[in-house]
Amino acid sequence: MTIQQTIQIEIDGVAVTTEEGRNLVDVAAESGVYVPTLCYLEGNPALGTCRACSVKVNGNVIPACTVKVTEGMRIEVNEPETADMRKALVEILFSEGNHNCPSCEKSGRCTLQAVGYELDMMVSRFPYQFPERVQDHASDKIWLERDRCIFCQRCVEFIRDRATGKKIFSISGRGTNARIEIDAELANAMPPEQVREAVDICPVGTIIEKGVGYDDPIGQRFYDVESVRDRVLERNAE
Amino acid sequence: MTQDIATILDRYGKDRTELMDILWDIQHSCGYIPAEAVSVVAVRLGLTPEDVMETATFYHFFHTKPSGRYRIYLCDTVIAKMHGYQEVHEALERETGTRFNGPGSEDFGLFDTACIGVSDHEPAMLIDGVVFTDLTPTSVAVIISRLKQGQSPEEIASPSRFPRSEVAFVDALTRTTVYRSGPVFFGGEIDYRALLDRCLAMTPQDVITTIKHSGLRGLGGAGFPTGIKWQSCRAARGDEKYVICNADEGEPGTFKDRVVLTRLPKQMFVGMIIAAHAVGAAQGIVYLRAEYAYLREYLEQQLAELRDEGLLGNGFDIRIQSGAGAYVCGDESALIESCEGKRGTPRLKPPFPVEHGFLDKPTAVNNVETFAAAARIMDMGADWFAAMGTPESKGTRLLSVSGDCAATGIYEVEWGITLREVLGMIGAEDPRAVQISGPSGEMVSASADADRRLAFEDISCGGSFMVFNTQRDLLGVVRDFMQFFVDESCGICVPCRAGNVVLRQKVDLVINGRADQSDLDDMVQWGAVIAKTSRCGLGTTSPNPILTTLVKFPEIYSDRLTKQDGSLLSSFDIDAALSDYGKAMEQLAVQESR
Repeated sequence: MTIQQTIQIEIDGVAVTTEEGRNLVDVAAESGVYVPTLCYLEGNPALGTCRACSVKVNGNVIPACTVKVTEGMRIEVNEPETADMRKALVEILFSEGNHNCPSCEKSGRCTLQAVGYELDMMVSRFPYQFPERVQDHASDKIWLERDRCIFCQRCVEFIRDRATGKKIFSISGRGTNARIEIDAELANAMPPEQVREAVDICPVGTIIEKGVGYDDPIGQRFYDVESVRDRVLERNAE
Repeated sequence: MTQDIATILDRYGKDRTELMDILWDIQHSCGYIPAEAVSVVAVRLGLTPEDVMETATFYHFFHTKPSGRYRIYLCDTVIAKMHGYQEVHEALERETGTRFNGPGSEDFGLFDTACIGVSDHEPAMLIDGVVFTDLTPTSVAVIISRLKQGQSPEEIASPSRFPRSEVAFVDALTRTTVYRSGPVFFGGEIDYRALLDRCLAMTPQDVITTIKHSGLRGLGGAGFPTGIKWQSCRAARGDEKYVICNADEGEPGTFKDRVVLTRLPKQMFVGMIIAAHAVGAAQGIVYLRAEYAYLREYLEQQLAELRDEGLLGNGFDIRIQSGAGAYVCGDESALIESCEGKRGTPRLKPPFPVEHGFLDKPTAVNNVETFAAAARIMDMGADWFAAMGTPESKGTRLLSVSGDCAATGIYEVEWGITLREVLGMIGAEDPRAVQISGPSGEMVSASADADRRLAFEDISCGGSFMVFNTQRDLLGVVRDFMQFFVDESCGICVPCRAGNVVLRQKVDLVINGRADQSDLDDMVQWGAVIAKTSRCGLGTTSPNPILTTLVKFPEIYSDRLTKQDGSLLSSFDIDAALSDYGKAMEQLAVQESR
């Protein structure tokens, strides 16, 4: 392992010492600045699909998850205009799909819901689209609730068939016609812990494990008892 | 059919990079891409069927359902709509007895499609890779009746039966006029052998220095300095490098790359050979948009001639990769993904293709026109080229002129020409607005902006030049452009996928007289979010039709605004909202009566 160069950057006017090349989302969290994320999964390559972590780097708006820090970077996270853009991106996800938190199995452990609360979202500023999306029950173990999919691509990129490396999840169509798909045969061959992993990394309630609904009571789930901001900052403070 | 698929697959390896070609072959053989074929392909390439479908369902011209023996794609751009699109649309439905974008019949499938690169001769349509221009209801009736009699689209379009490998075939289909020739592109024959002998004897660094010195910038639209791109690609570490020609000319209104490919294919290929020498590439790819499929055999013939002359194939060769209908593939990283047999979704940048491009190898991607210009620069010298144009924009560029003017076609102009000069040159008729660089560019005023210059430092121009006269409905144009972005967004990032839909809905509100000032404010704010947070150039420019017209032509919006009356938003349609309740009650009544 190469020794990383120690560098100085500035986040919201505060000098931060860190190592060159590290992910900006992680560096910010360590310095106590929460940047909301939906598609970014720590320790994995950035997907850059949700754009909800957009911040200003040297004056340019750019998703923090795609930024590797370099000496002298000037980062603005809580600058009002940029903060409102992040909020707008989260709001538009709520209006693009069909998100009914009170009836969703993922409530309380849904990152989209938690980030919505964290950004003080009351209602989406965008018109609700009420798209018609068909659910997919073909797999024995997984129920695909497409109403809630935000196309983050986490499952597509990070959940692969362990024997062959083939995609278990994929996307069909493009643009507003894009749709999450599942290969039922490969999904049926997923070991239980991989099914769990797929459910856990889904930032919304699209990938649901059949037969295990409501195992933890709503109200006692991790985002119910601690905000997404506190969870992220605590994890990175350790 | 299984046998057919097996025969097709025998022509290929087990490599995903060939997936686009495989899917095209299957569609040509079966008329569409059946699920059984997808399964067979998946097994051969070691993919899941859904993974093959990721690619097959991304592109406009791939069909995964039966789509008729003849698939007819009618171009639905604003330019087509100004020249009789609607009548042609109706004629096609009448003559084929089927509906657009519906299931089609056994013989015919009718589809709307974005710009097919013949804006100088709209309305136009493609029938299985053959283009028909200047359509009228009468010509449509003739074409459809001949198809019914068993003639092929090719025979109908080129009755003299020129071979597809000859320029006469292409000319029979397209007939584009070059109204103004300039020194860079149409400046006369180049002695390619002598030029290549000279260039290949130079060190790669000297070639790059010459291109840098010339000031050549990418002519696809972004204007990145070509010499710096080549330098970065040369400097990048990698055992293999690639040169790719972006011939995915998808920006509505532009057709100049098609004309370069038709008139100057060798100049363009020689530009690629020089670039390959400069960056150290052994392989070149021309990514040819599917809309230009009728150019393919002609281009293959030109490549074969270059090989016969010994100018190609000795350490560097070029192959043609067909696209399948996706505007977003004009983004160089999306184009590379497509070359790899994947969905044309733009990659995260950095890293840039010059470092991690095709198959993760350093790759220099340049536009058709850029390669052709590079060849001329190497022939005539950097100083000669740099003496033309403006401080930031050297040399000349090709304009694809369409819309309300006397002479639609191609014009080679020196950078720095004023809007007024261009409008005079093309015989613009009562012009009010010009859409520069297509929907992703800007709409300028023919009067207020008349003395502005086409140059990267003033009106940056990607080659598309659409003229609208004072009778045209500019807001309708804006709506059309926004729908184009909705249709062409790849969907990988949130702002572009979801944002363009809500922007287009706002334009509809204005058109329907249900918008007030707050809706215009929303458009500006939402447009900024989309422009600033999107992943690629499609999203960062897609709000431009709205944002540039709000500045230049505010009256097209303000004329249709309403004022909020009472506590309900102007945009809230109470009748529509209540009718939903009525519909729901009707549906419930039906269910309860069962």
